[in-house]
Amino acid sequence: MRGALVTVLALAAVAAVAGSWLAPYDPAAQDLALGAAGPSAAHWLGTDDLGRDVLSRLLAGAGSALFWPVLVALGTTALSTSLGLLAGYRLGWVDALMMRIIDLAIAMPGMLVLIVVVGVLGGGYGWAVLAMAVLFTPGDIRVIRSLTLAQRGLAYAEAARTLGLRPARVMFRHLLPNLAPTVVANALLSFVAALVSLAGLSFLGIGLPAGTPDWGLMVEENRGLLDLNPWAALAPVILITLVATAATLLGDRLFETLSEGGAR
Amino acid sequence: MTSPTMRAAAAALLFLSVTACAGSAQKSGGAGRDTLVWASGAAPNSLDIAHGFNGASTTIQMAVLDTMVTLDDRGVPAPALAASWTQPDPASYEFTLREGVKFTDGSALTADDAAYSLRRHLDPAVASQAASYFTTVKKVEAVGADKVRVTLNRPNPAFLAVAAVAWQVVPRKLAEAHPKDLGSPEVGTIGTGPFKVAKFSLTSGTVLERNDAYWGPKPALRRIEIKSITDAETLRMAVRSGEVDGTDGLNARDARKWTGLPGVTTFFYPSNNIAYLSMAVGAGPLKDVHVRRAIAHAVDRAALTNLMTAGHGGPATAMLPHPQLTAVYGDAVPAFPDQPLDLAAAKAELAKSAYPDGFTLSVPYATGGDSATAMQAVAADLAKIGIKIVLEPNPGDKYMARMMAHDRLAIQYVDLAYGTPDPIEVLPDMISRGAAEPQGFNFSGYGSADLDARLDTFASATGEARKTQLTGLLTEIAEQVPYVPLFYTDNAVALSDRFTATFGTWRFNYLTLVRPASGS
Repeated sequence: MRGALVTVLALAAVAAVAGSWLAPYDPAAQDLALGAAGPSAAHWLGTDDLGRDVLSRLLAGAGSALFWPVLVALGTTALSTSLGLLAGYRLGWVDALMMRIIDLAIAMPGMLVLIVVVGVLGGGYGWAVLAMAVLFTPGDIRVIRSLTLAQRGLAYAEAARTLGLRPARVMFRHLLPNLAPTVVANALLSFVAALVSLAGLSFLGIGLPAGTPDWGLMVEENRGLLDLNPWAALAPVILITLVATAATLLGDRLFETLSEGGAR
Repeated sequence: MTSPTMRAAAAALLFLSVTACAGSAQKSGGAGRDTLVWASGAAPNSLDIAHGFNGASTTIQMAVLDTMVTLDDRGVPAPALAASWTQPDPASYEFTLREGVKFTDGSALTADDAAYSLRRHLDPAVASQAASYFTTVKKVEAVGADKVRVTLNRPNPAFLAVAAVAWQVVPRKLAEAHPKDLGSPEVGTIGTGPFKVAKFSLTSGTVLERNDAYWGPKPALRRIEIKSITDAETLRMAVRSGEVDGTDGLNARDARKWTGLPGVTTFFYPSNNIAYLSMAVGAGPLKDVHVRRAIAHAVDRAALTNLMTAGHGGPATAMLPHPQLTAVYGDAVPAFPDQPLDLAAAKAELAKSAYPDGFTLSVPYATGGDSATAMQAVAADLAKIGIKIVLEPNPGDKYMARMMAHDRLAIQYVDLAYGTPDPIEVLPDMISRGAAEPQGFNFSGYGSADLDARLDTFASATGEARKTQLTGLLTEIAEQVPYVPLFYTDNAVALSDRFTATFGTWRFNYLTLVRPASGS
C-alpha cells in the first residue's frame, strides 16, 4: 500500500519537474479548427475548445498544481513548528499573546480572505500562496504548542534544562525530534489542503491567467465540455483527487510509523 | 483526527461544494400544459426599464408592459398602444392612442400616462438607464384625451425604433410616486400588456399570469414561471431534465451541446449584435494606427468566428450589427476597407510603427466568460507577430466596473447587443467623444469634434444622404481601426417540445410568442 502511495506521489513529482518536456505537444498550441475533440491516437485525452492537447496540458500543469502547494506546506510547517515550539516552551506572555492572535486568525474565513486578497485587491498568485501559508499556520501552531506542553514536562526535557542548555537547543535538538511524526503528517496535510484550495481558487477563475496549464484552471475552463470531451475536465479532477488522497494516506502512514519508532 | 486532517477534509469539501454549486438546481416541476417554466441566464433586477435596462429584466417587462409603437418582422415601426401617428414636421410626432385599453388594475390608459411614461426618462431625478435613447426629445405633452405630441430637438429618423424598445407605458400615478423604485420587488409595476405580474422576487423568481383583459390577441399561455440559472451547464441540465421548459440563456457557441438534447428544440435566429476588439487609442502602442492595422491583419477572424459561433453567426465586415447594415443598405452593403488575415502584411504594418519588434501588453479580461476564450485565441494570433499579450484575470463584476470606468483600457473583447435597426443607436457608442468618458461605451477613446459633427448630421439625414454619411463614418473606422469587427452570433432559444414559437430579431416580447405545441 505504501509503495503504491509513494509511486503516485513520485509520478506526480516527475510530472511536476519534467512535465513540459514529457508533453507530446506544446501545451499552449491552439488548433481552433479542431476544437474540442474526444480521445484519439493523436490526442490520447482529446483536446479542449481551443484545440489544445489535454494530456500535454495535464503534464505541463503538474508543475503549477504541485509546486505552489509544496511551497505552502514548507512555509506553513516552518512557521507553525517554530512558533508552536516557542509558545509551548516559553509559556507566559509569549504564549498568551500568540494564542490570542491565533484565536483571531482562526476566526477569519480563510477562503474569503484569499478571494479578497487575490480577486478584489488584485494580488497575484504569489500573494495567494503567501496568504494561504499564513492562514494555514494558526491551527498547526496550536497542535505543536500542545504537544510541546506535554513534552516539556518530561524527564528528558527537564534534564536538558537542568544541564543549562539554551532554550533554542532544548526546543530544536531535544523536543522537535519527538514531535517529528506530527510535523511530517501536518506538512503532508498542509500540502493536500493547499492543493485542493488552490485548485478551488483556480476553478473560481481567481489567480492564474486564462490559458495557464494548471489542473484547477483546466477544470474550470473545460467543465462546459463534458458532452464533447469529458476527459478535458475529468482528468485534472481525477489527478487532484489521486494526489490528495495519496498524500493524506501517506501522511497517516508516516505518522504511525514514526510514532511507533519513537515508542520503541 | 488531527486539526490539519480536518482542515484537509474541509478544503476538499469546499472544492467539491464549489463544483457542486455549479451543478445544483431546485426542482419545481408540476407545470401544466399552459404553464411555461422559463429560465433566464441572469437575474432580473427591475420591472422598470429606467432601472432595469438589461436582457433578463426587459424580457419580463416586454411581457407585462406595452410600448407606444412596436417593430414588425422587418424592423419597421408598427402600431402598438398608439393606433396611429402622424409627423406634422420632421422633428415632431403626434400619436393617437388605441381606444379602450386598460391597465391590469382596471384603470383606463390615458394620454397623460403615455406622455409621462416618456417624459420621466428625461428627468434627472429618475436617473433612467434609457435616457440616452431619448436625448433628442425636447418636449412630450398630452394633447386632449387620446393624443400625445413629441417634439424633438432635431429630426431623428431613429426615434420610432428606440421608442419601440424603451417607451414602455405605465400609470402616471404609480410612476410619479416611485421615481426611483418603480419596478422593484416592493413596488412592482402595472401595465397593459398580455401578462400581469403575480410575483416578483429577486431571489425566488417571477410569476406572470395572463391578462384576460388584454387588448390584443389572447396569449396562449395562462402562466409563466421565471427563474434565473446563471451557470450554463446547470441551465442545460435543468432543460434536459424537464425542470425548465425554455430558456434564452444559452450561447450560440454551445449549440452542439444543446441541439442534441432529447425532447428539446433549439431555435436560432439573427441577432442584432456584434462582437469586436476595442483598442484604446489614447496612449501606448495602440495609439499607432500601424500597430492597430497589424493587429487587425494578425487576428484570424474566420477561426475565431467558427469557435465563438459554432456555425450560428458569421464574420462581421463592418462595425455595425448585420441587421442594422441591411436596414440601411438592403442587400447592397458596400465593401469597406478591410485588413484580412495576412501575417506578412501584419508584420509589414508593425515594421512601419514605432514597435517593429513587437511589444508586451497587459490585457484584462473577465474570468469564466467568452472574453477569456476569445482573448486566448487573440493572444495566440498576436504572438505570431511579436505582440505578447499578458492576460489579467478579473472577476466578471470587477471587469465590467473597470471597463465602464475606462480604467487601464487596452485591447478589450466586447460583445454588445442592440435593440433597434438604426445605426444611430450604435455609432455614438463607438466614436463620439461623449461616449469616451467613463460610463460611455467608446472603449477605444477614438473621436474628434469633426466626427461628432458628422454623427449629428447623420442622425438627422434621410435617404441617400443617410447612406453616404454612414458609409463615410464606417470607412473611417475601418481605415483607422480603433475597433476590429469580429463576428455576430445568432440568438438562441431552447424550448421543450411541449411548446413552440416563432421567433424573430425584432420580436422582443418572445415570452408571449410561446404557445403549447399542437398534440402535446
